[in-house]
Amino acid sequence: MHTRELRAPDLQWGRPAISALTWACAAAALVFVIGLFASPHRTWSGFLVGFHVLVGLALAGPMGIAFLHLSGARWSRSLEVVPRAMASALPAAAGLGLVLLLGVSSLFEWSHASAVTDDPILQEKSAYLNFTFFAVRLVVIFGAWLWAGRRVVRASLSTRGDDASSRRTRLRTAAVFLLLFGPTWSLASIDWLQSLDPHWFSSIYALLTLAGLGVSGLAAAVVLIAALDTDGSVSKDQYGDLGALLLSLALFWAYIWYCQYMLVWYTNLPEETPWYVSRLAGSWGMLTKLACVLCGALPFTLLLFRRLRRSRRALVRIAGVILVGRVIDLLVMAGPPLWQDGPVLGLWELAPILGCTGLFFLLALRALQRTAASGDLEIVDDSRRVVATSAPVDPQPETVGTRASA
Amino acid sequence: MSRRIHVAHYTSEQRLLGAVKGCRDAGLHVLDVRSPYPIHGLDELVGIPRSRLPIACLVGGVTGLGLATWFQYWTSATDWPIDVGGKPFDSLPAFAPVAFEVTILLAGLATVFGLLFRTTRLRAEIPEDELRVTDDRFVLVAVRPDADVSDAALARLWIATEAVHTSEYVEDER
Repeated sequence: MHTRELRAPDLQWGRPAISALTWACAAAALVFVIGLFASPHRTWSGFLVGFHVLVGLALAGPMGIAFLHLSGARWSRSLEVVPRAMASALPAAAGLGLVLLLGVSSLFEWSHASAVTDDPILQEKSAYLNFTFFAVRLVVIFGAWLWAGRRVVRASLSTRGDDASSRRTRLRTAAVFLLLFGPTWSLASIDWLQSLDPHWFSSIYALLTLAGLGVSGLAAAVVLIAALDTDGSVSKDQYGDLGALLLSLALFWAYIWYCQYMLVWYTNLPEETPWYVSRLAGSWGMLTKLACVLCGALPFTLLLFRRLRRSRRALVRIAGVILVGRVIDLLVMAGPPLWQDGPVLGLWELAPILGCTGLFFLLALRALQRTAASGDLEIVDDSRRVVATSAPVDPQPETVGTRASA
Repeated sequence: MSRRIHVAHYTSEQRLLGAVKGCRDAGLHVLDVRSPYPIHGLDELVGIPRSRLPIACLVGGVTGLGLATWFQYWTSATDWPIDVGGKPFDSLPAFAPVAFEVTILLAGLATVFGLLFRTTRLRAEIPEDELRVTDDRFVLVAVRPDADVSDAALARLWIATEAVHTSEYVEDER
């Protein structure tokens, strides 16, 4: 056969990686707990950024599968094992969401009674921005994601075939997930990130965070797919498709980023500009530009080249650049209200940020290894399979025997 | 010298792919294939070289970017400066949307017209019974090297690959 399956032994490298990640996450958790006493504000600030990294990457799993199912994509069916593994980090993200509730007073200005009483705008907004409603929303949002995400993952797992009922199941679960995901993601972005600047608002904000989720989620998927692909079972065509998708998502992110920036720049209104003023000056400005280069300009330029798009090595490096850029991007988006004297990246910030990122990869790798152990892990090159299965007409020896007889 | 060219019609993507392999194994050289829609992996199977259309696309895009940026700069900063909300005359952020759109417009147009230019220059008379080449048939065009493949073997190949229509042409080498 032309197809090759990935077997459990191929994931041997995964075991040391998993144990290293486990130790790293445990150390990060320890530093986080110490940090809560030593420097609570900085530690919580780092935690918020790490939390967003983890939530985004975990959510990208079911979201990616839902989009692929809804569009009836066939090229990626064999790769869906990876977004499924990414989705397995979602319960941990929900757990960290509950931990976040403990840090609300350390992070959000609107949670301080003294800040609200002196501020008419915050008073008006307190009907929405108060701890109880915040906590209820957080629980509901994660409940919706866990429930709908599970259904999407199960549909991806159980409906291998191309028959009508499998396709219907995939379509229905995907549609339900995306319908729930749209409004809940919007609320989540406003609650957990935009409300750090409670006076500021932007109607395109949720789309901007969604674009960031998309590009970083696909980048993580590319890294995981390449890590699984130890024997060339993922074809150049499939890497090419992933690269093209990554290219379009990087462009999408840059486009939305610029949409928000340009409207604020153009109208130049005093209630809108402070968000950019604080993020474009000094060290924050450097980080903003760095994020734009790492998430937008650099991957876009490199991925224009077909040779890089189709190469496993190049694609993994570009994906790594995007992931780093995404962390910086989230740091800037959360940034100025939390680190008011400019960006600081010390132990207290790095431990939760890297810990959450490591936790995501740890959980995804563990899920992949579990799938491998159950013998269910296969990455089959679909493009080659089409050729292989089109062989009802594979030439019989006598059909082509004329060569010998001629 | 003349070439003997065979045209075979098929009714599905799978049969066409199978026929391409069958032809190659039988010693025929597959010249071209026609299909109502793009088929994954077909180009490589047949050995069709990569399209050069992306070059036209890139040239169009770069031209559009340069043209739109220059034109906006010239109108708003050089030829007829107007104070808009106290912004500098040469405000690049304001030029970006138009520059972006014109980049895409010219890249798209260059690709489409490049394609039309290439394909119309290759236009030829299509015989009456091959007209479905341009419609719903999956068509394979192959050259038969002289005396290498017998007529009987060829007939067997068409039957084995389930061709619905075949014809043979003799082309004089120019």
